[in-house]
Amino acid sequence: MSPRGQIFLVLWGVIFMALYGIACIFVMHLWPPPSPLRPDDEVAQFYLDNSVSLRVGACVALAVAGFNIPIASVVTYQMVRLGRRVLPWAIVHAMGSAMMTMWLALPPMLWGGAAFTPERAPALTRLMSDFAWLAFITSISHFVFQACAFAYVCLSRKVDSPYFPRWLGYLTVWSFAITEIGVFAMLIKEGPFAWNGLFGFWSPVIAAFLWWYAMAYVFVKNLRTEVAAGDAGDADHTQQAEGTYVAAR
Amino acid sequence: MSQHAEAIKPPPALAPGDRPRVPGEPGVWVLILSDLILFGVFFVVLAYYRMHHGPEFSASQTVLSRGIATANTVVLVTSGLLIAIAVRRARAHQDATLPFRAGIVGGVVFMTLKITEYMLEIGHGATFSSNVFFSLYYGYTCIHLMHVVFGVAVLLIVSPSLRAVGAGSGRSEDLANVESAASFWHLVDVLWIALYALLYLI
Repeated sequence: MSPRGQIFLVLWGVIFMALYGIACIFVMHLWPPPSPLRPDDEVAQFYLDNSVSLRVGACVALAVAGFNIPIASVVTYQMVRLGRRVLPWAIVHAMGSAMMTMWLALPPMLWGGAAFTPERAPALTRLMSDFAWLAFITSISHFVFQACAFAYVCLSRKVDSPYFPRWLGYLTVWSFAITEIGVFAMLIKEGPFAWNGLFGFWSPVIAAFLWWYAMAYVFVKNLRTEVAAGDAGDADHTQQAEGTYVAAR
Repeated sequence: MSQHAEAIKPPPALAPGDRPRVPGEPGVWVLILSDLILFGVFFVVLAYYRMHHGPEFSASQTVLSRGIATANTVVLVTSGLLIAIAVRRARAHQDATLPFRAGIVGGVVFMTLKITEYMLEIGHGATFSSNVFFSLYYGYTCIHLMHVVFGVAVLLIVSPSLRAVGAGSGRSEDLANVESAASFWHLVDVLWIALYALLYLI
């Protein structure tokens, strides 16, 4: 795929990511999260009062929840360019990224489902709401593969590519570690580790968005360089952008 | 000059024209500084909840094993010292294997003592969901423990680089690897000292 096409994919993902946040904050009014300690009646009343906006917001969020896929596809392609030795990591990255999308799509589906028939028994609505929040906050099982593969390629001494700078590898390690803290929300309903707490929600969401945007920035910057080099007929620069994997290191 | 003083020399001063450099590589300091910021936030949150749950915090602290935590502090600080000695020896092209391995063993001892402490505290009925204090205690110390595990793993991975640097056959990236791993280990050390003071002493 041409560098211009890859820029399109990355920006597609970035815009969809922003729309996902907008849907959750301004349409569904779900971010910041409510307390896990709310009684059943209060939870059910929220879904009853906001049934329309929740379902509309769920439609938007579901439409854009796959934002990780176009970004990850460009990253995976750049890994594949490095050669056969990096191919297993590219596969891990691709699979982890694709599977992770499931955990971004499931919560809006559950929020919308809870708002679909809000007149039901409050305990059932509470069940769906709890499931949605825990699915969103504690689902760490697949992002770990995307993050580890990306961090490995960035930090490997054998890789020399402008798309995978070492500082971004360290940022990936840090962001991934912070997002993993969210799993503690399964164990407690109040305090900073709960799903509405500083470490359960705010830190992981901020760290994840920061990382995605940093990665998008690095990739778009280097893709633009490739576009310019290609337009100028600069074969050397294009070759340099492709990166190398030096097995002898 | 005594034999001991000659054995461990400080690194050579910069010659005119040399560019100063950070230990390890600049990227690892992105990780270290961002981790320091994260733990800084941890400490502010702890202070906030202590203000609002003072009696609960004081009562909960009595369940903690201050003796084991103190022993762990000695172990980790000693481990940090041994790693620092190892790096200095390696830079002077001397055999640094013994202090380096001893430093790694210190990390393993820390993990063992910490898990033992957890088992004692859980045996007393103090779990993650008992109250806010214990959610912070287990959360913060578990995250620190993961840093210890990661730090030990990284120290083991850079052991060949340390041997190469000590033998005088290392490349510049070998020294960067060793210094990066050691810098991260000192971060782990510093974080524990702060956690020990805030969770056990104050």
